[in-house]
Amino acid sequence: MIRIIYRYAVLSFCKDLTDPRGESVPVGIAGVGTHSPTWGFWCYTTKQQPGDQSGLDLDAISKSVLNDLPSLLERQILQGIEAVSPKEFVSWLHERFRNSLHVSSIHKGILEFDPRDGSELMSRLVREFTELYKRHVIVQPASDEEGVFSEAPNIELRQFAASEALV
Amino acid sequence: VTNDEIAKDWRSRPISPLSWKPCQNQAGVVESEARGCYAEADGFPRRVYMKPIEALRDEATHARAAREKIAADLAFDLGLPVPPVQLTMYQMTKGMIPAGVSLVMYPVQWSWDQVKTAEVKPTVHGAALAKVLGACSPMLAFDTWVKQTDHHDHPHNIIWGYDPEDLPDSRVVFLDYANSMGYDKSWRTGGWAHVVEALFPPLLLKYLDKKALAGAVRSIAEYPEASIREIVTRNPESHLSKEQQDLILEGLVGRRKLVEGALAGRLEKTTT
Repeated sequence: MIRIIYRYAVLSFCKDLTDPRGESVPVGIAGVGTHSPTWGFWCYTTKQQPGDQSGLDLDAISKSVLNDLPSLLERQILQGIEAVSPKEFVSWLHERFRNSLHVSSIHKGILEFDPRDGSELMSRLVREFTELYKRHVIVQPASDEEGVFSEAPNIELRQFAASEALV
Repeated sequence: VTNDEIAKDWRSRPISPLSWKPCQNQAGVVESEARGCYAEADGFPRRVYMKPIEALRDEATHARAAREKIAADLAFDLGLPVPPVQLTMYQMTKGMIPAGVSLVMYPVQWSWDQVKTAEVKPTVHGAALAKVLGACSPMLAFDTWVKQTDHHDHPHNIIWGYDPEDLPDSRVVFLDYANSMGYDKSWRTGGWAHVVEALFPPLLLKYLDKKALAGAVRSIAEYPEASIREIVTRNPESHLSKEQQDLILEGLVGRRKLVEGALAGRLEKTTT
């Protein structure tokens, strides 16, 4: 039995920051986890085209930035993994995502199971983050086939040599 | 209500008459953050950022809200992109704390950490941003004058904002002057006279406009002492002690004409 502890941030977009009642719409999640002091993984999960699928009537620049979110997140995550420990990573990410595109909440999770091999471990983590994506980002599931298809997340999950274990 | 109307009003009235409370949607200001929060007030249609909402041990001398207010008023007079600020009091569980509210100026605002990597890319975002970077040059003179210590490549103390209905009016805006004007006691006993170039984002230095920088240096040197005195001394003692008022006043007046020397190398080297 292994015990994986992970922390993740929900990323959201607010269309009008000047409006005191302006709402934020979740567009993705990103996090890190460890099961030993040296083995870690990072993951991000976003909509396929967050700019086109946010449900908001966005300006061209916001649409462009949000559609580029997967590569923006990957750049930031790789930078963060180098810069800080897994324990500090989500707070570090929060400092990078403020204003219109921001970290709207931070969470912690624990996963305990007995994988047969590394491949099963990675598959289980992908499932876990897909579930988290459904919980936080897909607030109202689509009813039609086309909508359901578009809800399939854009997911990237990789291992890295962690500097410490999360507790 | 436009940014200009609010800025003019807040420049003329240092104390907010409104009662501010945290917004329900904190839009990025997440749990455990003690430094500030998005706030709103009945009868005011705009969101503000209120801080501090937790006192530091040295709050009486640090006087974060008052430093923000002074920087905002000076920037208003000089036509520079710093959000307008008004002073208020925030009710903590342990009592009242002197605070300030800073106007959220644009519906869409991108943090510097997102902006600085997007600029070089041939995207809609990158192309629009390239136009506004050169317009930031006067801020190097301003940050040097007030000894701003928190910009450089800080991930979110500089933002690029715009109204989607008025994209040509987009601006890079400079936030957070709490750690300026000798907050760290460096302006005591004449320390204010040591003027060196403020840390500034490398991307903005790359796009430095020599003429605009020189113009700002001149405007600061010629900025009236009486205006500085009015801006500094009208802060109530609840927000800025008499001792700190005197120190800031002496520093700002004395440093006005020293900015040119501190930026001489930059003014000569940069070509536009």
